Amino acid sequence: MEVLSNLAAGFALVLTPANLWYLLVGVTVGMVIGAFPGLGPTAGIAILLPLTFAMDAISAIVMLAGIYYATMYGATITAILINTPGASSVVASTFDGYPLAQQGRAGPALVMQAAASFVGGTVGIVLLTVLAPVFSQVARSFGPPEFFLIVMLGVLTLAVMIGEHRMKGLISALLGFALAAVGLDIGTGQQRMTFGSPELMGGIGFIPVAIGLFGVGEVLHAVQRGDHTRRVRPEGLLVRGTFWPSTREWAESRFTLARGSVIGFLLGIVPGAGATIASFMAYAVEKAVSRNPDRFGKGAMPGLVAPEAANNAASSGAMIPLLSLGIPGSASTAVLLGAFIMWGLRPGPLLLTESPDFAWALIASMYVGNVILVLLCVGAIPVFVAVIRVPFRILAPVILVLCTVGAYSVNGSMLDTGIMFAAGVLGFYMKQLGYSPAALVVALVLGPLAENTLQQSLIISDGSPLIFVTRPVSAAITAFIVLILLGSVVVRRARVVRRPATAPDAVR
Amino acid sequence: MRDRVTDRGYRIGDCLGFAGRATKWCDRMGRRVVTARTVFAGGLLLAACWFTVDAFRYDFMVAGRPGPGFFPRLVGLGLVGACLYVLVAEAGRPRPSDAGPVSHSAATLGFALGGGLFVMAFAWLGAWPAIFLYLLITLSVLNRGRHGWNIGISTAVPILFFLLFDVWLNAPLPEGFIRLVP
Repeated sequence: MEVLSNLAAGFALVLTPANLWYLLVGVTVGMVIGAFPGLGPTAGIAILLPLTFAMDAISAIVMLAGIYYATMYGATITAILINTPGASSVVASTFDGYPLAQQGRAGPALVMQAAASFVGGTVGIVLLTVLAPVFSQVARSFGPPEFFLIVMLGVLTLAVMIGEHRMKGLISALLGFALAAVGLDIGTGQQRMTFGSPELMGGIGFIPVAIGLFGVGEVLHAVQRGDHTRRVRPEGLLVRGTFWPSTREWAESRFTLARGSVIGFLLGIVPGAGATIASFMAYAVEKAVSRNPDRFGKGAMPGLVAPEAANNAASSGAMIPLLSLGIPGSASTAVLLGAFIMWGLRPGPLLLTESPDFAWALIASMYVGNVILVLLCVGAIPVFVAVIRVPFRILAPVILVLCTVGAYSVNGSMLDTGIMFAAGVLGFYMKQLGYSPAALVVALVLGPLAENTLQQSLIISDGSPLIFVTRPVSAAITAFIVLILLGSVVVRRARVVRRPATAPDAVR
Repeated sequence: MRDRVTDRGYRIGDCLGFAGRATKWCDRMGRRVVTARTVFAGGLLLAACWFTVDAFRYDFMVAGRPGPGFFPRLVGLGLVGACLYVLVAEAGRPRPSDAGPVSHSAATLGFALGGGLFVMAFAWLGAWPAIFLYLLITLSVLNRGRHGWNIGISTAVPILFFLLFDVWLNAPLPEGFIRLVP
């Protein structure tokens, strides 16, 4: 009952004209950003974060969270219409979404993806509403060793499981920790690697780095791919024939919606797993349980519905570790975490008790935002089709200008702009050469927490690292980390064995 | 039987032949080893070494507690080890074949250089002139022939950003040495 009353209070805060307006702006911008290949939720949130400095915390986070989960909706539009996923979390949606469009069934595909996203998002938000307080309660018993291990779990999962190569993912994460070490040491006040610069005494800001890695880096990557030379084929964007899915398609997708939503939410909770893994897993499960698995990859509606429900549910699931533990599971939630901290909030076990207005307003806004999104998705398809026809050769320099202006406006510092550009070049090469910019950003945001909790743990244990295996919860988390590391080794070995001998992978 | 001169000649020839083979081997190895992957990994290794050396300047422990050098040393040593591993692995990897998706390296380099110049001009010239000039020049290269559109976009974007940042957000952008707004 307390949950319902808290949720009602959250709705009361969100359902004001100003906050509804910001929510509408956020979800619309999120859909547009998601529709453009090359700009994902991380870049969108990072670039637009400076715009929210003039707002109050609730309005700002409602808008930014709207961008975060709306990009999943928008990214699928280009995935279905032109076989170009706007984010990695919708790659699985292209397997059957694009064939459906090629068969002239883009309309039903878009409607089903909107419905699947809505159901997945709603299931995820309901589960978030119920489980967030439970997780917060459990997390209150966590101490520094548990928090340190959860940070490591999140960073290592992202680096080792998601990236192309384990060691490159590890390097990316360590780079993030190294950047986080720049600035003042909290314990002694000593300056580290500041070169005497007063601006660097506050450390390297995550916003310029995130804007650079995911904004400028993605633009450079897209230019390298030749996106600036391509014209969007208009025939790929025509939505022909009936717009509504058939009764048979609705019927065959009803259990798919439930399965995809639950799989997505559960995987979204695991720090580092996220929507990408959730969408692939849901697709694989759906294909495995289907009576006609041969249809998958050729325009089977469940093949589109499953990953769509999963990735939207996962975006809600990722809010659980973010809100209850203060641990982001992805680069985009890492930027959200940074935003929370900037507004003086402390995501973690005490957020729901110390700042209930904020937390429940955020959760309530997700319900409202989900409804707005399904209406936008179905009603505004022609508008988004027109938007994605804007050639990338025009967008690319405008995005770079926006990134520069956004980075400068954080602190009015040209150093931030320089850091942004350098991060952009670094992000380009990282993406080209198989490293993980997401792991770098997550590690950058979590670096101070990792260092503090490690130091506190060693102080508690008088310098003994056994504290990470002698406490029951720590031991369980350590075992889970070892399991994930071993699992990644087994999975990669299995892939190498299955792959032809002519294509060996040198770096593991 | 060979005479001394001929024998010397053969020995010189053998040395030259060996040198020639060695040179060819070095050239092959160089072309095999010096790739974008190894150069990037090498650059990361250098940065990691610098970071680690700097981390050793700070105290590891202070009054029995982890000091300012504690975490950076762990991170730095881990980075050096990981970068070494990746560098060796990448050096041993076969050079990627030229067959593959077409890459636009010249355009990427030009775009990156243009972006760098824009970032510098952002402070010196001021935000609005820099944005206008950068967009005009870049669009005239990328969006050739559409002069009306290019001028329109180059004018509209600075105005839009001025309204958004200067007016709405009260976040002034650099005026540079050209002060357009009194």
